[in-house]
Amino acid sequence: MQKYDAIVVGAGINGLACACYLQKSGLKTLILEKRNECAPFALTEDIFGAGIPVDTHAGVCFLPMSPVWGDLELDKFGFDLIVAVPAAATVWEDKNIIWYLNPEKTYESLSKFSEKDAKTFVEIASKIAPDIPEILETCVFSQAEDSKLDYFWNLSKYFGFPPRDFKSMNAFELLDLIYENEWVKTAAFGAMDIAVFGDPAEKGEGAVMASLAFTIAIGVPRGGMHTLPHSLIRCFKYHGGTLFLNAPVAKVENKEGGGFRVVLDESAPYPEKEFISDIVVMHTSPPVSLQIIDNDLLKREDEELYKKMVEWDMTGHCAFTSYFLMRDIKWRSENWNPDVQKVPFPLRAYNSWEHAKISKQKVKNEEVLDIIGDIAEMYNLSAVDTSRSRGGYKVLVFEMEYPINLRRYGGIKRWDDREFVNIIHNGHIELLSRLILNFKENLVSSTYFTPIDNWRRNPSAIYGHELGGDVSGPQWYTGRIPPRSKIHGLYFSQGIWPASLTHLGNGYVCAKQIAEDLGIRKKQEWWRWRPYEYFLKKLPELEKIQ
Amino acid sequence: MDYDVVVVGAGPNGLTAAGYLAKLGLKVAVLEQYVETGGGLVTQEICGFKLNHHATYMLLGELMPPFKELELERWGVKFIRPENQIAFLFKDKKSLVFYTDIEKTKEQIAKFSHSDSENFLKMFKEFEQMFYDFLLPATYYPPVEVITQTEKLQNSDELGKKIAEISEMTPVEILDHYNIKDKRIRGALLYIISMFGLEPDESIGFLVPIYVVRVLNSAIVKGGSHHLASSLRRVVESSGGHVITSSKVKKFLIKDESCYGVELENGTQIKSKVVVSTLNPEQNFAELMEQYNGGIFDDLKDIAQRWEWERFSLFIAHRGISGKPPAYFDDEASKSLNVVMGYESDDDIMEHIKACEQGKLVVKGHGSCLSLFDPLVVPNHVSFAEHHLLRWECWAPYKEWTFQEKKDFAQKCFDFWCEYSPSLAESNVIVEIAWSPKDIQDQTLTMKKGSIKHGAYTSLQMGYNRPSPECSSTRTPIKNLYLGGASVHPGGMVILGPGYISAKTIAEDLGVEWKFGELEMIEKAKKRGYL
Repeated sequence: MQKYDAIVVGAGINGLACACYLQKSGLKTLILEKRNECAPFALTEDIFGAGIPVDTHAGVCFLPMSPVWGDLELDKFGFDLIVAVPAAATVWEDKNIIWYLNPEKTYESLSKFSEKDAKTFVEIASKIAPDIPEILETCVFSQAEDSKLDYFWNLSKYFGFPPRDFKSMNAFELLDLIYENEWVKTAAFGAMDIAVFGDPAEKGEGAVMASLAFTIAIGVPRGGMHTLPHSLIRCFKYHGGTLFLNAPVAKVENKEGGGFRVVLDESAPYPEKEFISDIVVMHTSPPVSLQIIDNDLLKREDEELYKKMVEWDMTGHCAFTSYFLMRDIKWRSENWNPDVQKVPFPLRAYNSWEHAKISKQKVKNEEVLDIIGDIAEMYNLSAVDTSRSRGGYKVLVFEMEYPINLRRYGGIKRWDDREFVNIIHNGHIELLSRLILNFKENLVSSTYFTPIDNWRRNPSAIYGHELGGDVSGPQWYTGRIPPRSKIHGLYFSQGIWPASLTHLGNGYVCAKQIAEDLGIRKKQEWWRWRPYEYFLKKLPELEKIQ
Repeated sequence: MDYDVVVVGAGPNGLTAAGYLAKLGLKVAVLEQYVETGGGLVTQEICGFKLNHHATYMLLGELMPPFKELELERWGVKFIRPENQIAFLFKDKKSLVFYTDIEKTKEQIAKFSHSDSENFLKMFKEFEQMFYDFLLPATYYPPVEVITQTEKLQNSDELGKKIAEISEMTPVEILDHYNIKDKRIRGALLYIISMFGLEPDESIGFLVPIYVVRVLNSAIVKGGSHHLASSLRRVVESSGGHVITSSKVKKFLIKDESCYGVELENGTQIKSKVVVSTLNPEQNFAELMEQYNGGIFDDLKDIAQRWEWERFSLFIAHRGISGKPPAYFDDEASKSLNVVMGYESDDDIMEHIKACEQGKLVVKGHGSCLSLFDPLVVPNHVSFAEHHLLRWECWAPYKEWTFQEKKDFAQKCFDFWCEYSPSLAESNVIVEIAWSPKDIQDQTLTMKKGSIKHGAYTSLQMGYNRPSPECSSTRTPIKNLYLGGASVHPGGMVILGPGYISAKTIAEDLGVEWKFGELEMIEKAKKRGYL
């Protein structure tokens, strides 16, 4: 039986990142992936058959925030990030707010709405800027601990509130106190919603999200999101790691004398079906992990965790994504600020501040058909990456998070009812016709993926959940799965804090925990980047889209 | 890094050659320009539906020597071979089903013509002998010069003479030769012979027995065609070989007419004792040798220049659905791997091919519901829905397809399919994607003009002539440069012949012992004087 120091079950991007850190730290690491391909949520496919690479899930990545980029030297392994100066925008029919890399330019954009709000924004942003590495290090790239909550509430200092107010504040209340202009408030709310550090409408979580929104930095992987997992795979193999595809794990159980037996499903095409390892990292969502890990072991050794996993909520944050093959994409709001044409990551945020509040309530009530397209992310990647267009065609992506339960519409099966789902997709088309000039005339073809389609793609993403389970209320921060269980050697890199995004925080946090437990963390000289700092160093040499 | 062997292209043949040579202890690297390995075996997964880019129906399956010798079963290959192979549906609600059981097939043919059923049986049995005794062994043996081969066959025995007799006939002439008369039976057989690109009026008679016998014994690879490539890759990697993806080769490194490695697009030079290329003749002799001129190089460039692509290619459309599988007026057809719709006679077949030559589209072809035979090709972890994967294939011209044209044509094909299986119209379409011959070229650059076999199967481009008399043994006039892809004898269609022959040839030239033994079937064929 082959013996490994560590086995990672599941080759999502965070599983891969975790495995890279372990292997690079000298642990003999094996990754077992059920599918033929890695990273089902960071894939790029020619979904139209038009020769255009389209990211089927994550479209922009948060690597600039991440220490992983530098530590693993992903640049050397084929990862090439485009950083656009007009990075994101909130677009309405006749106006827009552009979120530039540089706060002074954002100031100009905001001052068209309110001089006072523009000043407030720059004040907060410049206060936070020097502390971003520390904030990210404490709040995102480290394991959740009750003792760190004071640090969270202290983020209030950047806004000028006492911490106790902050604790009971949601994002609506906070924004009402900071800004005067309703368009600025609405746009700010929309921008923070993409960060998924909680639910903006919840007390405490909402305020934290508003703060962490100032630390978000994005980029577009040149050629497609799949270059990210592929660079991780190359890194892993370069350092001597072993990756088995088509290798579904059937069982993880204790081995006599310590460590684990990891048993592959009978169908796995490998002569050896069993491996032993001192450490096992489950990079599967909690309900899936529960099917794999010996339940008696869990019950016996970590009952609290077992209970949490049994009750784990996989609803919430499930994307419905519409894809449009276009001849041209011209924003109506170009007259307001023409830079909107160059933005890879446009956002849509409600028709008004009042609408935001009503819509958010409707989300809670799961009134899916009343909230179509209200708040969404778009990817217009051909604006910055020439490889994303071909033969005069380009692709626009429109993604909105819908409540997954369709109880009032007949249950979850309705996601497969084409007529029903077309109502949502057509709603997106109608909305885009208001935002984009001659949208329907320039539309060549369209398609969509429902939350259930995402589940089809990613067996771990039950109901299509992107983040390994809901990140709110009882599942917020320390309510997430801990990276280290009470079972010696059993770790988790999914369902943990932070929410698994393309900043690779989950993989990082899990690897850090393991390395610290083994006492090998400090010996790794290469393991030295603080969050955000590699990006700052790299910024001058990145080819920026002005 | 220096290697003993560098293989250009991680398709079925490149991985096969690499697998053998790595197992012999040589230091091997396979360079692949794309992110994914597999070439013609690529399977794209969209929402858990596994869509084969092209190769889907495996003709030789377990009969391929690498299957046993490289222990592919141990590394995950399982062939699924449905008993009901191909069904033909006709306008008058009659149907014709071909089974792996030839006696059952005979009964089906007898529904149309008694004499044809007898003649078909006679033909099929002769074809089987030709296939097992000569054509299969010849697939894994370097080609013999055409006149010599004919002489050998004519001087051998009764079977040898029969093979020589049909060798230069066209498929149409062979059906005449065996007295197959019924229009619909002739149409069905011509479709079976030509469905993967043999031309009904081209003198390639020796290929006909292979196609008739093996198309009627088609298998699919469990989990999608890529599983075959993945298992070959595992063989390579478990024997210490390297498979390096996203590495496009820009040129062969050649000095004094001897190849010593390759240069990648990013400028990296990889040195190697020998290089095996699995690319097509234009890539091998024109693009990758662009900078070398004169004498021998000009001769090789001539091969590239006169290389012929196919007159027609395939249009492939997929739909991943939640709903019921197709159901036809004949239950036996519903259980068939392939269901052919729209052809009432051999004239219809000829007309379709003619239309392709004129750049016209014809909505006729075959559909398969692959998930009926392999549940792994659909996302079966989603508990509340029944999923199926539909694949439509039909002959289509290589031309400039607009996106709209392709989309409309795919819709027409599915509408046509629904005419035969009305229940399909009620299914929920979750994934739909279509590929024209132009897309096939764009996805896999070796398949120029949508040529899944790297060049037309004509008498001037097969056997000893593939790609040219001086290169068809897999050796080339450039020392240490070998060919191993579908453009060299015995050709494409995932039979792994070029990979096998090139590996064996290279081992011989490098003086490495071939520890896999000689193939018994080849020894037998030699004894009978065929080879």
